[in-house]
Amino acid sequence: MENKRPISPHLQIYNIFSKDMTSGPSFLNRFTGIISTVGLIYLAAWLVCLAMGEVYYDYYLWFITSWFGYLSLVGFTFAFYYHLINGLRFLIFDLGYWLTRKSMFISGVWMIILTLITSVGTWAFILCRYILV
Amino acid sequence: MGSGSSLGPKDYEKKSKLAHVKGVGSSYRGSHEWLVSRLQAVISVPFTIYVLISLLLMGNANSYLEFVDWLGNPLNMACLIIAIITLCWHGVYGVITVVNDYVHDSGINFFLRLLAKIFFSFIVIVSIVSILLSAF
Amino acid sequence: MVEFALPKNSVVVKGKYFKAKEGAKNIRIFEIYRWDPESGENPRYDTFEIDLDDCGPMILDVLMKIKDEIDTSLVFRRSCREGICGSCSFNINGKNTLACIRKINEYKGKIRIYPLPHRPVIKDLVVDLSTPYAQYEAIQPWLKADTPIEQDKERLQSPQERAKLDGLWECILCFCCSTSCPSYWWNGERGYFGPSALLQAYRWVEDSRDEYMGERLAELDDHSRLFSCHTIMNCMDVCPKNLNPGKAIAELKKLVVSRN
Repeated sequence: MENKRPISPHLQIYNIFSKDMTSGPSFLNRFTGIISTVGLIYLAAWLVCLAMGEVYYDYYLWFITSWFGYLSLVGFTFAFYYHLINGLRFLIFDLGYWLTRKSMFISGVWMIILTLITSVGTWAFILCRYILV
Repeated sequence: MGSGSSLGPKDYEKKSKLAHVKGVGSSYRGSHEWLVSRLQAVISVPFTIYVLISLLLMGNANSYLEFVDWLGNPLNMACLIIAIITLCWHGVYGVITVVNDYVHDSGINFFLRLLAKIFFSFIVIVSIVSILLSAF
Repeated sequence: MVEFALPKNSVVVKGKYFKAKEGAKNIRIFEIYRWDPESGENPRYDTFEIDLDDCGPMILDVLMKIKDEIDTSLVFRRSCREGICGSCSFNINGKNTLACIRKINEYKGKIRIYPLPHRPVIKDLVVDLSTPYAQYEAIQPWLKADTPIEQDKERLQSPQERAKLDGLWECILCFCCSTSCPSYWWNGERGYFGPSALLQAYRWVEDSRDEYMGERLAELDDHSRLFSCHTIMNCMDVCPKNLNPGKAIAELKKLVVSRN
């Protein structure tokens, strides 16, 4: 008689976010892709409110300038830039380049740095432009 | 999934495992879908960046009229429309990939993929219609 | 739906604690996954205090010491003890590797030895590898050629052509790579061939003496078999022989796409 065999632990013990920049960035790429899809809904909603006239556009503005709206926008910014830059990194992998341990690590670090620079930079720009002016 | 192999003669075990692994056979068309998804990812990049930068460089962000004016420029409108189409196209492929990876029940899998296609088509159509209505 | 959490019968519970002998000074703690198919219980982790002054330097030495002196019921695969047979592949502190080539002092703190991830467990650290082996068989890892050759003569190959096989032929089928791939965890039983089989598939495609490249690529041109790889690249990270299955898969994808 044989017991049904257990499955050996996987996510529970595996170091997904190890410092080697392999599975961590890949998982985040998928996650930010899904978040960006939600961002597309916000974009479509904005365009619909734009088409429906000033009254509805004001409703949308009220929503997007609330704390939840700003939080969403900041989240979408990071998710979008991460997905874009890591997406380009993955495209280079698909062409066959940068697939060594060292290149993967260096490109991964640069990808994170560029994501932070572009996301923070975008918001810094918006703040300077629209609040300080 | 992952049920263990039962006790039995090694050859018999191995033969059924090979058959299990060969499954329904190769579709001989996986590469086409993969290539298309890479191409539309690449195409969406310049248009999305153009729209992003163009919107950031606009004047007053809160002004309804400024946005409608921005849309009045045919280059802006065209790039926005292309950006939305390519982004949604990329999105639908992405969601379908995720569904194929995680949802193994073929019925639910089919339904979710269909739902994704309907959802993104809706987003594209609603967005384009809104853009055209705003500008005219 | 994919199960991200372990099913009830697979959840690991705390097990026994084995203290070191009196007077042992250089102690390291090892946590080892155990499962007895005859007990009807859930898997557990047993904790062993090991006196490193009385043990060899490698993780495999620890496992052998435990089996010899502390708990003979511990079961694990091993053979050559020199990193060439591929038997002693486990997950050590969150990363798949061979126990015989990993030194104990490479690791800090408690050392956790678990079986290769997301495989059915046969007993303790021994997992069912029949699917990865079947996938290896499915890619037909033998020379296929129609050109007739003279009897007792080889098919000739230049040194440059032979060099293309370097980094591919050295695979010891330890399956550290396939079992480190999250995509293989979710889809290994449902069509994804995994990095180990795909590396070998590329080895045969790249072999200048093989004449069935078209058929081999056609068989791989499938959404599940090859394109379930999403360049996660854990495979390259864990290979104990420093091979690069991820790169081989990328080259395979390019070859398959170029047939369009």
